[in-house]
Amino acid sequence: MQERTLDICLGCALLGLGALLWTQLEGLPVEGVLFPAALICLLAAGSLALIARALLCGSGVVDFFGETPARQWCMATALFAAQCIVAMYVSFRLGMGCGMLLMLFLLSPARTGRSLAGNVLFVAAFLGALEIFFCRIMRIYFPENLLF
Amino acid sequence: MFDFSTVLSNLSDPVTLVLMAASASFGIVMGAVPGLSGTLGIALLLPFTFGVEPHQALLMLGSVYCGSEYGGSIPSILINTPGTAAALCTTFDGHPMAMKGQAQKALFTALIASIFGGLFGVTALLFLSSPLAAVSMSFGAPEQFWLCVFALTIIASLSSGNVLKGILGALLGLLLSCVGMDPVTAAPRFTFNTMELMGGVNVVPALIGLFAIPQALMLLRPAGARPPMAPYVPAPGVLWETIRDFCRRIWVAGLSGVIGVVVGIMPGAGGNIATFVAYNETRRFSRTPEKFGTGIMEGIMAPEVCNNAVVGGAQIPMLTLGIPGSAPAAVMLGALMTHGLKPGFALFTEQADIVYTYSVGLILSNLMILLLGCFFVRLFVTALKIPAHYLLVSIMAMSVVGAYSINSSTMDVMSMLGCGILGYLLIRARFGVAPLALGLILGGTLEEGFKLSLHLGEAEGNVVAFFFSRPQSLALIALTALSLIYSFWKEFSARKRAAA
Amino acid sequence: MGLLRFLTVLAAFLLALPAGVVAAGYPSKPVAILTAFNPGGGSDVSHRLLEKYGKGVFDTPLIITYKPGAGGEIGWTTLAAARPDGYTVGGVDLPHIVLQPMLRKKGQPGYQTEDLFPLCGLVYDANVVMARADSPWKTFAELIAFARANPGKVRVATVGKLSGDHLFLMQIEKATGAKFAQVPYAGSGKAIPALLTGEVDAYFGSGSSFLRMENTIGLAVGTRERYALCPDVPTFKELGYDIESIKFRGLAIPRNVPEPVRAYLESHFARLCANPEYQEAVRNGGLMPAFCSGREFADIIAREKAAAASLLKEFGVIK
Repeated sequence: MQERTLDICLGCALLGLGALLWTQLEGLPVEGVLFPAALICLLAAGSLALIARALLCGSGVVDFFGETPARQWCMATALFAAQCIVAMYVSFRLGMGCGMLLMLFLLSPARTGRSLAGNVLFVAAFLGALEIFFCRIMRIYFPENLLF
Repeated sequence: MFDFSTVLSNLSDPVTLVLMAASASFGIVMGAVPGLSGTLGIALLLPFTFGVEPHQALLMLGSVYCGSEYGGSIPSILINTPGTAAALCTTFDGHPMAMKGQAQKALFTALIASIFGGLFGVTALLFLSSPLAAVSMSFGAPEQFWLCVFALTIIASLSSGNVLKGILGALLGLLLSCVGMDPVTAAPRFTFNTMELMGGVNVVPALIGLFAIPQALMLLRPAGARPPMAPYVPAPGVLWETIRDFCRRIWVAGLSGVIGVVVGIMPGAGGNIATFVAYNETRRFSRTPEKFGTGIMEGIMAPEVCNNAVVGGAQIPMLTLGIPGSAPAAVMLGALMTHGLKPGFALFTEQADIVYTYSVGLILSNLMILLLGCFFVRLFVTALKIPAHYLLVSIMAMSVVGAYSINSSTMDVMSMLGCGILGYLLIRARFGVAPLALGLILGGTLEEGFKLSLHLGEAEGNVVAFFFSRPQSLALIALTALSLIYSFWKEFSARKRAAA
Repeated sequence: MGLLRFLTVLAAFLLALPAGVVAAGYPSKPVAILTAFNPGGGSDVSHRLLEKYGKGVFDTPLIITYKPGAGGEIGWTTLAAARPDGYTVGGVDLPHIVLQPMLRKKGQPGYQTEDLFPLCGLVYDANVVMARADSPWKTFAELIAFARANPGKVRVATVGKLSGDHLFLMQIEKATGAKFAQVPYAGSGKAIPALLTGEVDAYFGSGSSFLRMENTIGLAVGTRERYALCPDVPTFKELGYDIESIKFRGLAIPRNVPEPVRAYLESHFARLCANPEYQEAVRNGGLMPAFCSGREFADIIAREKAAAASLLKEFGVIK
């Protein structure tokens, strides 16, 4: 994608964000409003400058995926997001365990039974170490939601 | 005055030394796990100190504090994720150095720099407490505001070539810091009437998200491709080579140490702000500023010396005035009071033995960290050898766990996720994440200084004049202006040279 | 084959992990004291003392957990929503827990004062009018006279706006007719250096802050009789003003905790608070130990709520 196009889109998005946040400032006491209001104004000015600069002298290409294959990137990101949500709202251990296992399957260079077993062992050891270090030693407990 | 023989006998007790070593190791681990921090480490260790003598308790907690400031550099260097907010600047040069295959040198640099900084800070604590406490009293709300503005000018150097995007990133970070309940007026801002956003976006989960997740995503490669990190080749003698190179650049350590102590004594400004200022000033005075960010020793030395010097600096007002200079110092203050010690100048006269045992003991603690550090470096560096996909999955899992464990908050994990995706987008769009991180860290302190100065100015009658009236403020304003002018001039002359 | 074995081991491991044992008797695991503020703060120190002296009194250890944010709202909302099994107790501060629900805007989510069931009162902290020892005014009367002559010029530090300290300031302004310039700080950790460095002229706030500072004088204290922790400071009653201002602190539990569990907690905390060493440590921290039962604490909460509501209505803050 051209950097120029991206900059224009981002500039507009920032202007939209500024407008949205501006509406949220209603009803607040004056001294709580001054600082964010000033920031929003500066943000708007900066976005306009960005758009102007992109229109006048934009150049260059941006690469979203870098050296990563697009499919792998999307799957990894979706998997990570799912891992966070499941771990926090459904079951911590299940979410973390399944998330890590699936990610390992996705990323493993080899797909043999031995590497599969290795992955499972790694995940079990990792979760076990977390349990010992966080829950037993430091008494920081993980969320207990729907399932264990 | 104090009795030197008592101090000596206190410190040569083997139980005390073992406790200190264990606490220092705990501190290093706490600093090294992103999400855990020295503050949490001190709070967690506190109940274990109830059964020991007050001086032993203080030494244990102080060792945790020192250890965590060193520990924070380890993930910064190895996985480009700051272990503590104060280790953020270490990522700028620490990680590139590791990517070049010099991970061991980077880690040793951080270790030696941390010890130097720690000793520097403790020396200030031992010999300069009174005058520095007096200086700390002269900083007020306008100075807090201008110091943050000064720290923000380093965006110009963090994003050279694309200052506009850097400024936008910083503004976004400042706006993010406004989300949540205003600490003074108790009015919720930008919460869209949800409970989750009431607590705002906490700094440490956001930092984990901004740095660890994009890093992990950018390490993804098709199966079997060449790994992005240069292979680590262990070489003997790296430690001595590092020490020799460190001594050649001792001016960096001296400058950063002074900055660390000075910013540490200011209540309200801690390691976060100090390391940014140290990195920026070191770069400004260096003969090769363009090499900063590519993985040079000075870029690691500056923040690491600084954040360990803050340990000593922040405890000066804590012990003398009962005013902590940083968040971990605040917890230490609470610990002091739980043990029945009341901070103040009386502490130095009535309980002098304890205070001097503690201060001298911190020197010992730093030396212990040096020895422990050498061991930890070898341990962590072998972790680099595990296959890339295991490393990636571990980083992502630790991000979730680290973000959750700070406040047992689900919202923190969601912030981490959101900031992770945002961070990746920003990096690809050539905005960079450092300005946003800087804005997020400084936003609260900046706004607090701003609001207080408004109130104080109103009471004096002239708000605008109040911001510019005090000599300390004027000094900071002058520094800010000089910093900006210098950056613009350098950029301008570099462009002229390129065009010529 | 190897895979199946590994999976079995993994399953067994995961099933063995849950730490909570199905309760035979209460308490069977540590009781958590939820602190709604950051580690190192005033609440944390109080709770650490409970943790320290709880050994030997409680059958399982007391542990401290933190849930800071939004001035306590997050912690107290978490407390109100916690499982009523007796393993979560929260430290609550007055007048925060009555003020926050009162001042919330419509549509904003959060706890109600009634969602927090009072377990027991622990300590109180009297409010004090503080000034530096080298100030031009040495008595409360002098301060008021100066303030009346120069309305809006005397800078007074308070912790927060529409908070306990602000209510204290409002009471003083109402009773004396003087007008001060309020400078709100985010916490006592910021207000104390402000007074010591001269950024503000006076600090209307907690006695615990007063006792931590050196070279300061107390001009008036908000208790009915002279406060034992600073007996040289005259009370408002002695000076002729009808002002009483104290911050109470206690413990609360979520609603619907079974009665035997509640009774266990209340009786054991009563035993803990009767320990003279604990009381001495509390006094050293600048607070006055004053244990009272859950019912008495509920009465205190109701009284504070009524007083705050009438004061805020008078100043036009709420309708």
